[in-house]
Amino acid sequence: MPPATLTAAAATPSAPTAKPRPPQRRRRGVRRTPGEWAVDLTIVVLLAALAFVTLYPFLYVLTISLSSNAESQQVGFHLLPVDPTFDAWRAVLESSGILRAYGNTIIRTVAGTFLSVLLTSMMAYPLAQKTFPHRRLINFLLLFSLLFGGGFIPLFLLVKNLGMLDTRWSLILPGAVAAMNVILMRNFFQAIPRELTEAARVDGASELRILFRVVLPLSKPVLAVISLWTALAHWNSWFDALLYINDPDKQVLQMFIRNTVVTQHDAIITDVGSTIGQSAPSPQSLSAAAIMIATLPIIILYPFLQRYFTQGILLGSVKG
Amino acid sequence: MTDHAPMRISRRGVLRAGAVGIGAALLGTAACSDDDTSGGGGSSALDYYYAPCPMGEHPYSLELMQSTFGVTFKTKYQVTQPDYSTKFQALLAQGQVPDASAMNGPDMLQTFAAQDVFGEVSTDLIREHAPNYAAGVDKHVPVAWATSLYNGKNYGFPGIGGPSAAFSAFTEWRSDLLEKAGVGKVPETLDEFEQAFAALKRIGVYGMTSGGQSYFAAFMTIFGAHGVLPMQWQILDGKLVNGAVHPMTRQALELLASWYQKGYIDPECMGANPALKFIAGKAAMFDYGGPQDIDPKNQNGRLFAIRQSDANGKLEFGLPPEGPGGRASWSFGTSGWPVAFGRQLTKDTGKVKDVLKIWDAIWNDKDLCVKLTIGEEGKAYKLTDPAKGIDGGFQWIDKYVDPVARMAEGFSTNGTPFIGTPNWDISLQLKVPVPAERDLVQTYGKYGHADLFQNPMAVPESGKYITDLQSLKVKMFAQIITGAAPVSSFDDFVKQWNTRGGAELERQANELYAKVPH
Amino acid sequence: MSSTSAITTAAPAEGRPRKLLRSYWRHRYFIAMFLPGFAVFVLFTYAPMYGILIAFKDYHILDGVAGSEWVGLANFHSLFFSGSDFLNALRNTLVFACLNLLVVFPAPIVLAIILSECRWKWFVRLVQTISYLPHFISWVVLSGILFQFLGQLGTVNALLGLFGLPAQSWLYEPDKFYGIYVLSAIWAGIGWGAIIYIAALAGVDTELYEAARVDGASRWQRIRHVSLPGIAPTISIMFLLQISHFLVVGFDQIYNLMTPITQDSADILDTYVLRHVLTFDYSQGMAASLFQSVIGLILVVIGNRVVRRLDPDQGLW
Repeated sequence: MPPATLTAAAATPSAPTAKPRPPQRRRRGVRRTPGEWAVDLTIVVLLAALAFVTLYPFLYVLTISLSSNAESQQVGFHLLPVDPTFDAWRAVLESSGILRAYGNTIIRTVAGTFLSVLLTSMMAYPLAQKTFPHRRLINFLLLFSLLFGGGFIPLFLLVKNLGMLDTRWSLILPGAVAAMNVILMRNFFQAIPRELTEAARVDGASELRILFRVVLPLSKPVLAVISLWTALAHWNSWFDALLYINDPDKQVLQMFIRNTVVTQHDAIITDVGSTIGQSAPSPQSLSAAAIMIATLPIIILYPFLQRYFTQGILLGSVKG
Repeated sequence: MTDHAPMRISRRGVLRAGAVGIGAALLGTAACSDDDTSGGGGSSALDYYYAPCPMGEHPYSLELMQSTFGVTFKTKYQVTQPDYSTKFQALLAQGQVPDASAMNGPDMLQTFAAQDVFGEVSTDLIREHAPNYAAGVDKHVPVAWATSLYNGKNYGFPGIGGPSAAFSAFTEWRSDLLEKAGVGKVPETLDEFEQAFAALKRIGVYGMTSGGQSYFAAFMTIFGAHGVLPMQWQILDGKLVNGAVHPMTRQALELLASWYQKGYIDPECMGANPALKFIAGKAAMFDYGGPQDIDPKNQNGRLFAIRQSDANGKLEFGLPPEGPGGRASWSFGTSGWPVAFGRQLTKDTGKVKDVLKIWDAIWNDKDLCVKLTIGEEGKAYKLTDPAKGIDGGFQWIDKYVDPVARMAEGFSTNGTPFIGTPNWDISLQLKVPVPAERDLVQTYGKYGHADLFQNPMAVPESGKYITDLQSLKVKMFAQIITGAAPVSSFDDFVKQWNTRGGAELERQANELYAKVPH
Repeated sequence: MSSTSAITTAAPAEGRPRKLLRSYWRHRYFIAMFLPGFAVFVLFTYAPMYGILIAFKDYHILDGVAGSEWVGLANFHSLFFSGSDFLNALRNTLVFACLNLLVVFPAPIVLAIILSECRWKWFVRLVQTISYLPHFISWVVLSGILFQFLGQLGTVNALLGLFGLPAQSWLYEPDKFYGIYVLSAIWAGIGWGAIIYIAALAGVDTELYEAARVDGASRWQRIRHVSLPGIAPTISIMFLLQISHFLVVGFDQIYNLMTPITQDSADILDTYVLRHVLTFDYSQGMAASLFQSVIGLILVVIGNRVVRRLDPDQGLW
């Protein structure tokens, strides 16, 4: 049987005439041989093992964050907390200012991700056109920027000279267009069959319209991935906040947590007196709680994006 | 100045061991030098880059300082220890040099002095405007004057830690294991150690474990017993050498290697959590403990952790073993967190005088010092034994039981964030609020031995070579002790040490020593 | 470098500049769309590029880049030759880099394919969600877990004991370090790394699978001839990106897993730089990262040539 070409498989001539079919329905035509069952089973076992092994670190941290002071310092499996307590979570969450820090991070993540996806796709789509002027040069510039950088001080000076110090823009703008994302998006756009965009063009749609009405809806997987990456980057970043933000009202969550945890950790570690520590959560619990509080929202985000990864989405979005 | 109170050796802890300096120095924040008030300005605004301490909205300590001395501190920096130098560089990159900056160590001062960031300040000026403080330095840590020097010029003034910085971590034993092995009392000499280890081996327990990854803490008491503490500068035949290449170190390594081979040392001491076996009851001695470890109710102490898995676990402190070189364990020393003045102050000495005046006043005035460090009695703390005053110990009350609440006000038993331990006489009382623990520290930590300069980084180009040398030392010693390399490779180590900067540092150390009072 | 224009069939008499202008005009809407993102990109990545010069200067932070003295290759010289263990660090880095490329890189691809071959989609989604979790945990914690599991008193040795096998010292032997590195890198990164390939697989036309099945292709043949070619563009992009960072091997991971005994095997360029470059010495730090970048550039240029030979449409530029 003929091997498919390297370019996107949807570009076969038979595609436009194929019957649209809901992607999820299981085919009942082919019976599964015992050989295939064996493979199915192996797959499931392997995946289950992987799931177990990769779930463990997370469970470990979660358990420690919910463990009592004593238990958190024990050596052990830490699969489930024996004596669960929310002390550590409370200690982190009750720090004054955390709500504001959360708010700042949410603002930056939402705005930053939105702006990023917008600008990136608007840059990647033209680049996906094979006739776009200076295409190779621009692609090279993208790659070059991935390899070489001037370090944080020149960037810091630039931000300062643009008057963006201590503003939210300093957290959103500098990283808005990431070369790697542009490259990936460009590649995905290139794989979209020209027939679809040509059809829209013939109908008189502007390029912008084509981008938003045709291309992006077909690119949900890559959009989902890039949104996830960008959102995570924003959620976790602290270095830019450290450099650019002095106003405590604008401080972001990671910076805030970093301060709290390090402070508590140092205070407990170097404070010789036993007056503290009687009921205070242990440094391990605090760090663990901080990790949980900081990463949970993103982890919760992913399952919502998963549906964009379902196979056949490309075809499924095309109505006849 | 902060010292390094006995702490758990976590990987991070070890890395930061040299850098945990909460409350290192004053921080002034001066955007660009606004007003120029020479002559002790009452309304001047100080730009002070101070030690890591994320303070709250209205920190008590800061506001008291401002009102008492009539100075305003401009920016409240919210930086923690790991980000301290990055933030400093960001400030510098903008062209702003703070009026006064706390330096992480003499190496930080040296690096930036080399870049012309700081301004030269004569020691006479220091002595004139902070006479009590200067006298205190002369009396307690005269060698500290070296820490603000670079290339023969003086850029600030030394910060010194209190007497607590002279103490070391404790040696602790699982006395229940000793009993099981039939060892009558806590061993005191190297020979007794070895005999105890042999007995412990018979019941399937490792004799000792230690923080093998640490450049200073690895088997420190054993080295100390031989009269050396690797990475510290000491005198040999009238000249300064580093303990790492001292002949007695070779002997100590030989002993350790033989112990390892006999199975007396935990093979996983080079890993991330050396105290683990001690807590689990598989090793009988650990050399990095603190007073909280003996209190079964203190959740940060080791006995508490031990009792979680073994209700009959017992912990006792011991002294560092006595050997051919006496008894010693590592202490970081009482000097080394200098304050440096920005170069814009060479002309405008008004702010310099302000800063000096503050340090001097705090050094002199015990009440003020106490207020700035731990707040007001009855509000933040209460005295355990009012008749004895601060000597009787104190306890935090109300919300101040929480360390974060304390930081928000600028309180810390290590001193205010602006000044390190400001007053020598009460510094230990402030640092260790419980008198019983203070006694423990003075009993079991008294063999702490510090380097001649009271800070191993005082030698001028330490910053350049020391990380590499530390890494070399840790690696080679680990290999020799575990038997991966023969003891004879020590000579090879010395050669490498010298070529990689050790010889150069030795030369500089000797030069420096000749210059400072000692 | 102008685009390979397949559309224009201009008469030979037209000059290049005019061709270019016409191209601009023809693509004017595209250009308008393109400019805002491009402007942001150029501004924030290329304007600070002059910082690279710091590698060639004796950087004094208050003097800025322009005001600092030019020292040529002196920083590189002192970086490489001040420490006798540079070659060792370089050798180790190369070993890790190759292991990364040959073993760690393909792992997420394999996972993505296995996931796509599983029949029970709810299970697939569950495993997917779980598998990327280690990505969120720092190496400080992950290495702590490993030290516990692989330690003398740890689970792995306990299991070995059950089978009568002697306990091994997994983390304290130089020879074992490479294996630990690879396995732990896969453990931590396979789930997150698979996401992009899962997305790519979602774009493969299900009709092709049906066609293959009808043609009687076995599962393995379907993978070889439909799945893999379908995501080959993505694989080649990720591969090229990986090569561009060839010398950048997991610093956090190695730093946290390293012990003094395994140091000779584990030391990489980044840990070497950490020891030889002060935290405050910007010049040498820049020199080190510039070195890694140059190597990466050379490799990616070569790699790109190879990829384009296989398929002119792929490749990074």
